[in-house]
Amino acid sequence: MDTLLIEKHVKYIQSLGENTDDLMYHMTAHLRLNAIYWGLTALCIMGRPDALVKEDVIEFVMSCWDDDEGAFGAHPGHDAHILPTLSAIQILTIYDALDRADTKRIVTWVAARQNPTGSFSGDQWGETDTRFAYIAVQALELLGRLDAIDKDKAVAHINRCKNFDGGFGATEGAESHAGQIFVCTAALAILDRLEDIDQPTLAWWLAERQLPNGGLNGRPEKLEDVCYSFWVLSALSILHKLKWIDSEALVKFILSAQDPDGGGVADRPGDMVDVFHTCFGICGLSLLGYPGVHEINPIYCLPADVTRKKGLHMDYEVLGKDET
Amino acid sequence: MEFLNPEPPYVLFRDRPEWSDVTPIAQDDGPTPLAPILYSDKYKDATSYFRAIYVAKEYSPRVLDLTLEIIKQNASHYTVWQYRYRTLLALNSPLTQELHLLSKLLPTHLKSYQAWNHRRLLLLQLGKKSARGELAFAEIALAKDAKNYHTWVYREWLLCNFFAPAPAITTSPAAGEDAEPAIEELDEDGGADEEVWREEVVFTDRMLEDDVRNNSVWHHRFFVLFEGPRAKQSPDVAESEIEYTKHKIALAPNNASSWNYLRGILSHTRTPLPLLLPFARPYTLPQSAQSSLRAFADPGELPFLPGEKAQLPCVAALEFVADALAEEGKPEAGGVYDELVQRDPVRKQFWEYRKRSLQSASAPVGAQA
Ligand SMILES: [Zn+2]
Repeated sequence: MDTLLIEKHVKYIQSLGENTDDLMYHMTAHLRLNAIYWGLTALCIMGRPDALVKEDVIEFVMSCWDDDEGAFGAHPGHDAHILPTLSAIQILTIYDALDRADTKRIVTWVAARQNPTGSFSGDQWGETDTRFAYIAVQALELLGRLDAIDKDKAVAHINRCKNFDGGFGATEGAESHAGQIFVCTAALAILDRLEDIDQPTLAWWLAERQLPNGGLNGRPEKLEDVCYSFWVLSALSILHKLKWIDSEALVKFILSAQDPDGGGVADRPGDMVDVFHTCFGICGLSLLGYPGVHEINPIYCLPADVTRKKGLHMDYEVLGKDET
Repeated sequence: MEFLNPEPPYVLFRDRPEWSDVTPIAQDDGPTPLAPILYSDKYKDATSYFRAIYVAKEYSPRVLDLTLEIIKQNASHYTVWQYRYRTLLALNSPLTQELHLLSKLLPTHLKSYQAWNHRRLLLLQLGKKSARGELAFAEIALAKDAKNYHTWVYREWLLCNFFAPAPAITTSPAAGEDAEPAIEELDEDGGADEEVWREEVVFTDRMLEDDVRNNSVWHHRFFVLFEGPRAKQSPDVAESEIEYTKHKIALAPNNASSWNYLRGILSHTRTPLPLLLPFARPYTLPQSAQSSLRAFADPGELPFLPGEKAQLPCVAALEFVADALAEEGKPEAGGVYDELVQRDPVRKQFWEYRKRSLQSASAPVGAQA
């Protein structure tokens, strides 16, 4: 497999909503809105945004609205949570349909997730995680209301999650982890505070994640994975250090994780595909300058043309594009 | 052969007499065909009853049966977890019992954010008296998966939330008046808390004896000794940790985690890298050079030399030596970066960059190697 099987992947994503007699479909209801966002983003990057019916998607998104809380659940009848709320905002942003949502209430709800320490919770039950800080910051930025939170406190909390190896963890005291590093780096990029990062140490730690088979892992001594490859790549792209990894080897690794028959991308070659790894595999190829795919903006993980139109942060690196 | 199976057969909720007063609500999949429904009868049955009690806002003992059943089938259903927690509080249920139940469930759901968060919420209610037992529970969970991120985060949360000097790092539950602030007992017994952190170091010893490459343990040890709320910034600690790490590196030289830990101590204590050049250098030489090194070594240095089975030269050591030489402004660092290009080709661009920045940094003294 030495090419990206765009047609197969488009069909695979289109088919996801069809096999609803599959138990897995129901077991993953708590990720439904996220899954639609992953599918739609992958389609945009493959140049096929129309492969889903826009009106249907928007209607489904709106049916996940939790009117008691004023934010989105993952599926109709699920409680509001910050994860599906960002997915809903991202989908509506891609479709230029934010006017369909009660953005005022969303802003209030998201801002209320900030704790006195500056950290963010995912819902009213309080689990905190730097992922939620990123999600809140991105959601508010997309709604043009970053002023609704205490930005300095948010930055201070992210900085308290920084480790001696330059990376970031999920909470204070937690181990560095590529996913958490991505969310902290991207959040600091949106908050214009990238100078708070120990960039040489962090970029070195990120470069160390590449394994001889070309794939990247999320922590030392762990297995390579397509999604971790993307978290590492995104952070390196924001730090303008993409050239430190062997892109040819990584492209090969991602392509080898495709399912040549049914379409889709898996976490690593030979495993079952899913829409999450399909999205991040394709987005990874985009950052690596793979020909024929559209540009992803890694700060938001949204198509670059969408973020450009909205005048959002665009300071990142894509291989093959002229950079000074 | 029923007697071989002590589990009673599963009864669907629609066949349970105590649920006959409830009309189940089938899943509403929204207006679009993106999400129509047809799934496992068992799961469909239970979630239909859940939707009914959710709408009716029922908080009763049978809700605990129902939510437990759904959680067993799908531990990621966060709405069900939250509803269960609300029900426990509404019923004033004994939370230690819930904790025991969760102890049985968690080992099969170690990757569920929701399960761990449920446990955290319980602990916030139960308070410090239950927290020590939780450190033991976390160790049992780590025996199942020694690198599980949630387990480590939970352990670090316990330490900071219950055994740190006030003000503790709290993950404010924001659950309104229901949630007791669980930190009021803090600092009554600072000495006992100190002991908990000392035991934590012994715990990481145990974990590293099992697997010296487990980065989570190295990270945790650094947190406990250098960064955490009861870290002592004493040169003695740094010195003994450097010795400790040298031993661990001798045991398994090609281990990024231990080398990173060593660098972490050096940078935390602002100790120059070149101080450890005599230790690192032997690891940059091939195995064939080792016997003569051993022959001429000071007896005190022998335990820190690479073993006979070590795969040498070791990339992490080459990197350490190159960076140490660079720190001293020595042009021979360039040659070591060249060797790294050979031995670690996947990071070729990175090593070449390091070599270039070396030249520009030392340009004023004319060291154009
Ligand atoms: Zn993955």
